[in-house]
Amino acid sequence: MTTSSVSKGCFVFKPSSKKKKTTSLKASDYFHDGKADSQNSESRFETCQSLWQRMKAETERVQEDLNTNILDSLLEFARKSTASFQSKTDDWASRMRASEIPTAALVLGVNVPDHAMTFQSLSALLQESVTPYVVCLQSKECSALKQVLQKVLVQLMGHSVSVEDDEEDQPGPRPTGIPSRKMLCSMATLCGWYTAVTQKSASPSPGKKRLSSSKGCGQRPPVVVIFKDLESFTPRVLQEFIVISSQYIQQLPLIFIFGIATSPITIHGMLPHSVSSLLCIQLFQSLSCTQHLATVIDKLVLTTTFPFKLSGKVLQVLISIFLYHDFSVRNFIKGLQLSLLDHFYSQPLSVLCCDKQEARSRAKELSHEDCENIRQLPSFMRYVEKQEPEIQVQLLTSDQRVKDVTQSLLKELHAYHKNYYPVLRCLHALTSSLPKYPLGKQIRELHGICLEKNVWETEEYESAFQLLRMLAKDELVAALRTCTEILKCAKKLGDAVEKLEEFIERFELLDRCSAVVETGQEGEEELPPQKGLQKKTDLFQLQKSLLERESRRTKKLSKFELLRLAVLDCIDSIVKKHLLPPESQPLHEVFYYSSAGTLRRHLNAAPRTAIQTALNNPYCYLQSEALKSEGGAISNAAPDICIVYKLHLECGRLINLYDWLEAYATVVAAAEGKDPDSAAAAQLDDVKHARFIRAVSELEFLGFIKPTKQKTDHVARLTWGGC
Amino acid sequence: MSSQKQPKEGRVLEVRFVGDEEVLQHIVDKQEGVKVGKNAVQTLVSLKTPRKSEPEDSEDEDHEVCNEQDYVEALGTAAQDASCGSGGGDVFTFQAVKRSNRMAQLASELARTPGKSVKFSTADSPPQEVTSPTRASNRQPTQYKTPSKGKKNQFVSTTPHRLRKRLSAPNLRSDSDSDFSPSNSEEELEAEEEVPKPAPEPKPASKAPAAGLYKTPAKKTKKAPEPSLVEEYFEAHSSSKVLTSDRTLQKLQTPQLDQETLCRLLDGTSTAFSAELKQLNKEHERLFHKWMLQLQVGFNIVLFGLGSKRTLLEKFRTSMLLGSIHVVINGFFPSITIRSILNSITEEVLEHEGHFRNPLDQMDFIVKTLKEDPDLQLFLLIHNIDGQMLRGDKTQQILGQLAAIPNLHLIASIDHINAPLSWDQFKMSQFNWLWYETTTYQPYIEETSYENSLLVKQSGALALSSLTHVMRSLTPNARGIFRLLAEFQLENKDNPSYTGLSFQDFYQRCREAFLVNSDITLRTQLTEFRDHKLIRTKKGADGVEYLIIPIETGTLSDFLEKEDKE
Repeated sequence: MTTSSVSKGCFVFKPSSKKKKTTSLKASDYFHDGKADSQNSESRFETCQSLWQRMKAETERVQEDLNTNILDSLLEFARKSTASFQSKTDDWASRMRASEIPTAALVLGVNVPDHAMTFQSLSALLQESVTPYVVCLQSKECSALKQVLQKVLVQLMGHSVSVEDDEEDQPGPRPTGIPSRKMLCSMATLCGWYTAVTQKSASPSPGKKRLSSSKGCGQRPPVVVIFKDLESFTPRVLQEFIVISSQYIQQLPLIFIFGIATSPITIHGMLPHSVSSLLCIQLFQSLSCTQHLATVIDKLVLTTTFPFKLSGKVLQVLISIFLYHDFSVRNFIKGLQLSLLDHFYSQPLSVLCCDKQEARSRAKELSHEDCENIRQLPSFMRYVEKQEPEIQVQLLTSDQRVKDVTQSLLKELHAYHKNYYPVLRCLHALTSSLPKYPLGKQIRELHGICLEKNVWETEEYESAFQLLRMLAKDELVAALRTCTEILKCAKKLGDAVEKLEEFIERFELLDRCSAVVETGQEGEEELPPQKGLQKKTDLFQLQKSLLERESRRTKKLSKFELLRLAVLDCIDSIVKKHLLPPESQPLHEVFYYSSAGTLRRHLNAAPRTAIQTALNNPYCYLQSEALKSEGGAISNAAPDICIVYKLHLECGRLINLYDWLEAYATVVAAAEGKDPDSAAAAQLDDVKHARFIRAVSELEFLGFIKPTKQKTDHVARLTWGGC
Repeated sequence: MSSQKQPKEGRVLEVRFVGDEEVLQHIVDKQEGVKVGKNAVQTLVSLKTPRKSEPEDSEDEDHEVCNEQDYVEALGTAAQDASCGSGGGDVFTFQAVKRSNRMAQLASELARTPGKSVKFSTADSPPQEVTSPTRASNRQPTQYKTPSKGKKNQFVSTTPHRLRKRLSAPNLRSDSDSDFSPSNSEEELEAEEEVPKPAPEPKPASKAPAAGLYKTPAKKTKKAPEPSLVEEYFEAHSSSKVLTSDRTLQKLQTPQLDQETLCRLLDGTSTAFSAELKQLNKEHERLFHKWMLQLQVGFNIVLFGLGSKRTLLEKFRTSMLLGSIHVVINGFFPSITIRSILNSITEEVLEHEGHFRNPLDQMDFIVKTLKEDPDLQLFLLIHNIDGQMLRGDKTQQILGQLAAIPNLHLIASIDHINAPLSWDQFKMSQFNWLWYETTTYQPYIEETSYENSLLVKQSGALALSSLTHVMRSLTPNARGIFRLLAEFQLENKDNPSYTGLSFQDFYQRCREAFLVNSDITLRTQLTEFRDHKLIRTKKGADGVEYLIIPIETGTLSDFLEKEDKE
């Protein structure tokens, strides 16, 4: 069966049921790269999947945690406004407020796809604890007022139908379809329905579900309408809906929730004062997406929970896609998933990329091939080179030896990670408050530096320590305290904690005796300048004496300063010991995914650039000597479409087809070896004509040109540049 | 990625001597350049990145290691190593002034590229003869567009950008800088030229005449002040007049080929570089396993790059998907609709009888059914998801919803250069694309065969067969009515001012032939014709309705002949 036809565009293929059974493959079967090593690949796939499930669960948990605050306050808001609907207090203020629709403006950040989850959990929570009547509206479904009303009615009444008629098993589209078709969609209908329903539930009703669900809010649960993406709604539709709703507010307790992507000002941009005065707006601000990202990185990347790690480059690519392209945490997680998958797919040794115990037992069962793979790892080779000659020989010949060493190296790597993250956090705690943030404001930046190279060799580190050396005592002690807190989490860093605590104590000791010392010192220093001033000094002398004072001051350090230097040296030594870049560790390839280029190409591709490169420089793709050319020129042997494209670049807005064809024929004739000066070259045969036609229609298909009627036999050019 | 890796390895290095002083100067330059770029970044977003500043240090040059670490550059690197030097900067530029005879010149230059050292003459390209000094002088500003002959040595060692390129060129460019740097395309292109050339340049004959041509006196005087980009932009937009020659295709012996001959002619042509193309294809085919894996894990795949990806996808289908249910959709098919796609899913895959009121309902049904049966794995293969009929926002929305279903796997291809514009942030997250570059250089045979290319004569074969089909279902009277109109139109085929047959005249003729008895019957009949797009009505200047058959005269006479035979 073919897939081309002049009458049909869709072709369905269904395998016969027998065939299906034999040939259907699981995802894991695609894991091995055509190689036979299925045992290894299966366990790799399983590890990968379980790891991903764990990471996914973690991200969801993080998201929930982040949302709890704002969701709680929203729920509180809903409850409060319900209460105000029900309390019939007769004071002026509440009567004034009674005519307003309580509205929550929820500012969520620019990345709309990320909001879906927030709204989902919000409506679930609302339904659970406040009211069964929750409506979610999306702008794309609501282009006119009628549709808005229809949507609201369908969602509310359809909902009540499905709740009440649970026993009647209705097929899919009916309950949602009926009310919209048969009933007149108006606010009055809704109102009537609402009174009917609430009265029914007020009287002892048999529906148990009902009772429990509306328990929290008495007999008149509010109707919550969520506008998911306020900015994309048509202002007119929104205004009319609000005005109409406010007419019914007495009978129908409505609550609006606006999902806002940009800023709360948009409300006033969309709604004139006469409309917005009908609303009683309260603002809720969700966490910014950068904070969200920071938490995700903190929980997924800067942790020993997950053995899988990202190299500096990969992290950089993911973060820059986030910062420069979409602000989407979801895409960041997608990138994480892709790198995880690719790591396990492309690195056969990733079988060892699992938790410590598991990794050890797996290391014991490595096959000969795996051992060979290990020997070929650059980091392992470097490790071997450092060993004694006889050990080297053993490592290169005995598989058992490799397995043993692998186990111990894996253990070291795990230990390395256990120390790395606390020390990283500690360094960040020290430097994150420095002016100008020499080592970055966010911990991910510091992490990025540390992944790349020895952090203590960088200029930034140098300047950060210079600033630290000038820190006042209070700040320093406070920072040290947080450091010890952080380091206490790591078991292996006990001695470092002890040292730091000792320093803190000594600082406190200083407090008591410092007062005496400092006054004494100052007294000493006061004297000579006074003497000097009494004399008549020339400029030179003054300079000299100032220099002297300067040098004396630097020479004589107070006790505090000495102590400060000592503590910083201590921290420096801790950093030097633990914040080595992972590349220095043998077997780091097992855990670290480093193919940043792959990731970038698959997540952040540039299709147009690729097409234009292929047209401009076919040699990039077709390694034929005939195509080789320097500069921007292309060889005349290039594919037709390249030549035609190249020629069209020389044209203005319109292109004369005849000229184009002639120019093309000249080039092709030369490529065929004809003398371009002879008359034969200019001669056009049908084949060339046909090839030209094909190339031109391909350019049209790609969107570079389009036919035009401005002039006979001309086409219009659609792009500029691209040479 | 492999397709792009390959080129690098295959490239032959060319080394040329660079003096110490020059190097030193460039290093200083470079660092300044980088600083500026970096500060600009920092003001935008307060982030900070480490940066090494020794480009010479190439010892730790592993496969993925690159020296530049600026964020923007990190993004740019892959574009660089992927695409041998063309980045956003050259792709998106403004319109520039173009002269009518440029194309012919380039053609003759291309005709004598490497190896063929022939003297330049204008014999084969007539437009060149009209080259006037003023034109030649105006040509200068646009010269950077064709760097092959650019000789702007006065620019050497001014921009740090170029030098970075030069320094990095020996490192196979894997660590060269980004093209997103804010330099303009002019620098960019000159940088290209600066890529080391072998010292003894063995093509004096091919280059000298071309260069000689531009050494007109007018150019020399104009040489000093280089017009800026801005000036060029306004010059290009200054007049809306079109400066092209007036020649038309009628000058050819065979002005138009029809589709059939075109196919026949093209079948005969052998494709050059078949070995290289095969190599490219093989690399793409190696990805099949990976694609299957990624599809199953929940990503969807989109293929881009020059060349038809139809055969590749077809191969993927036959080698990977035969065991599972899949739907192939030809997005380039001119009358494909979202409805037909959804229908084939609901009717043929899910075997659901019955109708849906609108695509949204149908969509909901599909989502629900697939959710209920998680074992059902459905693969959707869309050739050209950017096809003419699928471009609409609504359609893409529905496709996005389909793609978001966990057990529906989508693999698609795009070809139009602006295709990604049809997806906003929201749709992107629904599609969950992984991008794969698969440049194949295959001709778009199937894809363009539907297109009514302006160069292809419409044979009308399709129209004729549909015409006869419709006719067969009509009553003899109705056939007679149509015949009457057709004959009248053929009689007037040489009359250029023929606007059609007016309704009143037509009615009169029909009555005379005893075909209709009232004008209402005729109108009903005409409505039916119109519904089948057999006729078109036009209001004339006098307010009278005129009827014409929108079919070519040749086809029409063929039709009448056929009718006569029956």
